[in-house]
Parts: sequence; structure tokens; C-alpha cells
Amino acid sequence: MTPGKTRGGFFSAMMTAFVIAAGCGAASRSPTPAAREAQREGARAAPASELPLPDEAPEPVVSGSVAGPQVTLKLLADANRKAHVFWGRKDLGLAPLEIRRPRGSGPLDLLVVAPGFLPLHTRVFTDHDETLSVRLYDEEAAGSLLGHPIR
Amino acid sequence: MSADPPRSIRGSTQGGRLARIVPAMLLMVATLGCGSKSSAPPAVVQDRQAVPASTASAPRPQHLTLPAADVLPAVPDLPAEQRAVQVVGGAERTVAVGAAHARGLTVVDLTDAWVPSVIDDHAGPKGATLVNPYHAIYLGLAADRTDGDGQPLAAGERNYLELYGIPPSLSVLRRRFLEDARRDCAASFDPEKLLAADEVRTWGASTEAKELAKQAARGTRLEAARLAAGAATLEALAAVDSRTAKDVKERLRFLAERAAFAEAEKRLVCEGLLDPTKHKSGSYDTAMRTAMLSFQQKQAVMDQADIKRGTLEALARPPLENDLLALRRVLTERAMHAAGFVEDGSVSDDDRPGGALGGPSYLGADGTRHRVPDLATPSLDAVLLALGIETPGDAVAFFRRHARADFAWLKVAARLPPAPEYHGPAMDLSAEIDRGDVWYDFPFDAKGQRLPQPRERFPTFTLFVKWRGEKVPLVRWRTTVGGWRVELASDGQEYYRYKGSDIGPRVWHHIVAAPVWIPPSSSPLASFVKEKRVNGIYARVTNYDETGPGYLSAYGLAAAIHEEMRRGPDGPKFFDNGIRTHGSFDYLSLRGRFSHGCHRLYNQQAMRLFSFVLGHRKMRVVGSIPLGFRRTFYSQGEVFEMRLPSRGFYYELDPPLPVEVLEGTVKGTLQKPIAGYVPKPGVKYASSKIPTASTSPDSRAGGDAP
Repeated sequence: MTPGKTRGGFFSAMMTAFVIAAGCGAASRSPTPAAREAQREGARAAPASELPLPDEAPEPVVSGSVAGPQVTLKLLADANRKAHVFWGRKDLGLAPLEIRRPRGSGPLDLLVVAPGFLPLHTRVFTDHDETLSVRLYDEEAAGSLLGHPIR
Repeated sequence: MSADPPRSIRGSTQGGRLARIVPAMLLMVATLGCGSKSSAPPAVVQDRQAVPASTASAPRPQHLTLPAADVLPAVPDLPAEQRAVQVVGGAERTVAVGAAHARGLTVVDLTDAWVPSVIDDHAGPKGATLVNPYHAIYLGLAADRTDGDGQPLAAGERNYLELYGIPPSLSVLRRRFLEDARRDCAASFDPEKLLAADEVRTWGASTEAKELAKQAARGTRLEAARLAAGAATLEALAAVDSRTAKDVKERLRFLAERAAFAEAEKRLVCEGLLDPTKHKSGSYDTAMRTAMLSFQQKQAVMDQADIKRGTLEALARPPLENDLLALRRVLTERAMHAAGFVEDGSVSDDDRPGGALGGPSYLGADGTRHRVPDLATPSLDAVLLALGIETPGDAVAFFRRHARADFAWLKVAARLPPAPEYHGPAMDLSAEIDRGDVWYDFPFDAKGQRLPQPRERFPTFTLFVKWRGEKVPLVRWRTTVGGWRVELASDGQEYYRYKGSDIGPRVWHHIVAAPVWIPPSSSPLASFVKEKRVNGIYARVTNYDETGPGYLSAYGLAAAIHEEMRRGPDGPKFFDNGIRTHGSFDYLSLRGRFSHGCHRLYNQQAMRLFSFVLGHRKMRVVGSIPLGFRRTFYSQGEVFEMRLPSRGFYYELDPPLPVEVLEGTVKGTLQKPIAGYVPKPGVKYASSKIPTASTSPDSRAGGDAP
């Protein structure tokens, strides 16, 4: 593993949980839930050394797996809310907005942040054009949501 | 409904195999002799065959070459789509795809654009292409370009997903071969020390120090005893003082394990999987465990970070030997899909009676009985022969000849074994799931102690073809059936519930690629938020792992829905009871654990099975079925939305394929399952009233894997 190529805190935490849960792993026949989670996680998190081959440059990192047609994703929200839409580290701007992405390039996990409202995590898909209306929740409205402690 | 299989499936099964030249195959089989017996490891099974390092350099016979009848003329300057390769007399040539078909050869796709046909796009009605949304994701995962959401991998990050049903692309294998050829890791570790242990016991962080200290104390004690007895070795001590024999045995075992562990560390460091700066030597810490898991998944070893014999054997092999095994698995899959085969030899060692030949057989047009063949082994052999690959060195030479860009077009023309005569576009297929030994009794006593419920027969899945009035088994694989599971009830408390599999005659009316599981509202919310990298940063997001679509989906990469078919005046009606035969990420569960009622297969087997069924049955490509599911929930001061726009990519079988779930042998006292929830022994519940258990189809899939 080359330094700086781990997937960060979450993966370390999961693997630590796995280590603890594994305990007498050598004798265990049925993995614990933590081990199963590590099984899920391990498949996606396999840092390896980067050894450029003698005859070529390193594998290019591409965004999405299919080049070609684009899709338009519209995110609708009340403009008065001044809701910022983030895709990871990128600030896509204030909603309502449009996002252009390669068709079939995979879903985008978006974070919508607006003053006075709880952060909202949603997802848009790139299989075809779509329009998504975003509903924001303040503390009081969120009380009706599944999983809220006062519900 | 269209009676035609989709274009990509038709393309992979054409070629007039019945008319192929048999003598050439016979010559090839005769030439390969016994060596071909173990040449096609099943795609996702643990490889237990040790390959000592010394065999890599042992003298070997001269290269095999293609029979003259299969050699195609070299044709330079062909367009990419018409171009295939063959290796003749050690030299590779470009040949024409059309000439290969005309000669009865099968053109096997080696490109990075390959997907199993069940995942492929297909021609829909009126010629429109029905795009499978998971197609592009699959390609990105197989080629180590993207993660399961289609986002780019970090530099140096790899997807090791063979055990999850996504074998690496050829260009990924190319990288492995060329890296390993440069590194010479084989010289960095001692395979004999690795193979001297049957397993290496490991412990979690909290117990490792104690266990190692205990072992050190035993070593000190025995050393003192040895000196006192004047014995030259510990073995000699045990011989003169039988009281120490047990301790000596344990000490020697431990020393062998530690020596193997040290070699494993060297091996993983050399292979680039273990960062020595993040690892404490001798400890099975997070870095080492992560590296071991990566190694196992890279080599398709199902030890799940435990260091058992299969792992030690893989560690003991030179890296290029492991790469060759991986290449063989990948080529087997490509060849089986190209030819439209499913027969992998899994019924060959069946001990059920099957006629004069012993084992399953079928009646041929010639009036004699023929064994159900293993088509995986000779298919792989044929591809390797056409590529001129026998040894790791041959494979390195092949990959050195071809730049990564070549895997945009590369194909090989090979003479695969002829399809058995029962193959055809509309085979009379049926499936059977034998539940094996089944216990309905509650498996705990009043104190919560687990009661023994041994099983001698485990559940199996069998695909049959009806041929000349007989049911002929084609494959038989381990599967899962339902059993006692913990479930979160509507009162927010956990109960046990017997989640049995549906018994009796059912049908597969729909096959779904990249299926989506809809979590019932009772699902614990904690599992629906996770942290992942999103466009360069780590963030909390809605967790779609379990819902899919994806290789971690509760329904795997492909599923067949078990439906009850009731005939009425308006024609047949279909009822979904929530049971599926589906691929599963949880490959260890195939070793004897229970499901929530579904019948799991390894994802790789599911892909092969359903691709085969779609290619040999009348069916209609339906495409993505809209779902429009949206659930909003709260977690730790934030609001999350789960959006599932599609149920997956559907195919409709017409007529449906019969599937029979046999009751199996019921053991114990109860002859029928207990309905509803059963309180967990020793748990005090808030109310004595037990909630009613949901019977919705998706509630079958509650928990982390149906």
C-alpha cells in the first residue's frame, strides 16, 4: 500500500471494527455483521501500489464510463431559500439549477444546504434527463420524518 | 412478444457448432491428455491446488499448436470489428472474424467492452436499443476505472470484484502480469514456510497481545524443560517426556504459523498490497488484515481475511502463477458466454444414478447415452491453445505484444467443444431447488442456548433440460434456503421469525439484471447512511449498497423472481411471494448459512445461469421498469433521501420457466414452520403483545441479505 492511498477514516474505522469483530476469526464459520460489512467494504477498498508499466502512462482517470450523449438534470427549489448544491467538494451553485453530465456516468450524491434548514442529501441519476424538486426541512418539519427522535 | 433472443445473445450462440469438425477436437483433447483435467477452475471457488514455486521453472513439453484444420489465413489490415487473433507455431497472426465463423470456430471477445449478456443492452421493439443502466457501471468496475457509482477510482485504487461477480477485464490482467513480471516477488518470500502451516491463527486487536504472550511463555517454559532434560530439540524433549508432548506440538505449530505469517508479510509488501510503514511486524493489525483481504479477493480465495490453507497456497505461489489462474478464470467465463454454455462439470461427480455411464447422462440421436459434459474445461483449453498460452511466461509475452489499446478490439478465434445436441434456442429448461435437510424447531432453548440442528444434506440448485423424455441435469450448485432470522418488528423490537422458502411449483416469469431491493419501512435506518468518497471528499450519503443496483445489492447482480402461476378464465396470473433465485455478494453464506427465504448463488454463477437461460428460451426484453421510490428520513441532524428510480432491467420469459422447490427432509419434531414472531429467549419485551409479521414480498429480504 502506498502512503496516501487509503480511503480515509471511514474505511479505517470499518476495518478496525472488523478486526475487533473478527476476534477468533480463524475458528469462526459464520461472519459477524461487522465482518460482512467488511466483506462489502473490502471489495471496494483495495488500495494497491501504483507501478507505471514500462510501455505506457498510468491508467487515465476518467469521469464516468461512457463518453457521448449528455443528460440534463434539473434541481428545483425555491430560489428564496438560497440553497447551495454541492457535489462533493464542488459547489454547483444555488438551486434551482441545471447539471449536465455524460449519460450513464453514474449517480451523483448531492448535498443541499440552505440557511435555516437541515442539510439534505439526495441523489440524481444520469440514465436520462430528470427534474427533481427538492423539499427542505427545518427543525420542526424534520420532527415528522422517519428516524427523528421526537417522532 | 418476440420469440427471438436479443441480438447480442444470438451473436454469441451462432456458429453451427453441430457441424464443427470433431476430429480436430479429439486430436486436441488427446494431445492435452490428463493435463486438461484441472485446467478450468470454476470461476468463484477456492482454488486448493498448491503450485510449488519450483514447477514454474520445471522443464515442460514443447508448445502445443492449433490443429491445421483450425488455422486461419493471416489477413493484415482488417477493420477492428472484423479482426481476431490466433497463435500458430508460436507466432500471433491477425485473422478474419468471418473466416472463423465460416470454419465453425467461435470468436471469443477479449475486449474491455465485454459484459455478460444478461447485463448487456439489447434491441427492443421497433429496433430501439434498450440500455441497461448497469452496463456502463459494470464496465468501469471491471476495468478498474470507476467505483460502483461510476465515480473515478483514486490513483492506485483497485477493484477486486471477482468474488462479487465482476471479473477483471483483460487490460487489468495485463497490468497485473506486467507489474509482476517486473517485480520478481517470487524471490522475496519462502513458499515452503508458507506451506508448512495448515492455517495461521489470528486474533483481534484486544486478544492478540495476550495470545502472543501466552505462546511466548510456553516457549520459555519448554526451553527450560529441554535444557533440563538435555534434549537436542523440542521433538526430542517430547519423546523423552511425554507430559510435554501436547505443549511441544502446540509450540511447533505456533512457530510454523509465525514463520508463515512473516513470509505472508513479505509477500504482501512486495505485491504492493501492504504498506510496511503502517504495519507493525508480526501483528495482524488493520493494515495487514486489509492487505490480506485484498489479496484474497484478488485471487478469488474465500477465506475472508482468515489465513487458511487456500490463502497460504495462494500466497506460496509465484505471483505470475496466480495471475495465470486469474486469466484462466476470466477466459473460462468469456468462452462460456461466447458459446452459450452453462455446463461446468458440477453434475459430473454427482452420485445419483444416471444410466450405464454412471452420473448424469442423456440419450443421443445415435441411440447411445452420453455423459452430461463439462464444457468449461475444454472451452478454456481451446481458448488458451488459440492464444498460445500455457505458462505464465506465455501470458506475459501475450500481454507484452498487446498494448492496453488493443483491448478495444481484441478477439480470439478458437474451436470450442461442440454444443450438446440438446442445446437450442428454445430449450425445455426447468430448475429445481432441493432444500436438503430442514429443521422447523425453534433453535434455542429457554436460556437462549443454541440447540444442535445438524444437516447432512445442504440445499442445492439444479438446472435441467427435458430431452427425449428425460430430465437431464446440466449444473448443480450449492444454494441457500430460509431459516430462523432475527427481524425488527413494527414495535421496534427484535424477534425471531422463521423465514422459509416457498415450497412447491413456481415459475420464473421474469429475470432481472441489476435488480433493486426495496427496503421495507421496518428496516433499521442506521444501515441506510454511510460515509463514502464523493467527488474528492468523504461525506455522509444515503447508502444504496443493499438496495442496489449493484454487486452488493441484496438481490445480487441478477435475479429470477419465483412466481406462483394460477390459471384462470382470463389466462394465467402471477403472484410474487418475495422469493428469488439471485446472485449474492455474501459468498460465504453459500457454505451453509441461511437466507431469508431466497436461493442465493455466487454472483458469477447467477450471471452465467441467467445469460444461458435468456439465450436458450423464448423471451422478451422489457428493459428498465420504473419504480419512482422515494423515502425521506432523518439521521443525526441531517435529512436523507433514498431514491430508487428503477426496479432493474427486466426480461420476460415466455413461456415462463418452471421451478420446483422441494421440501427436503424435515428433521426434528415440528413438521410445519411456526408462523409469526417468536420472542428472543431471555429478552424482556415492553409489551406481551407480539406484533404481526409483515408478509410483503420485500419483507422477505429484510436484514442484510435475503
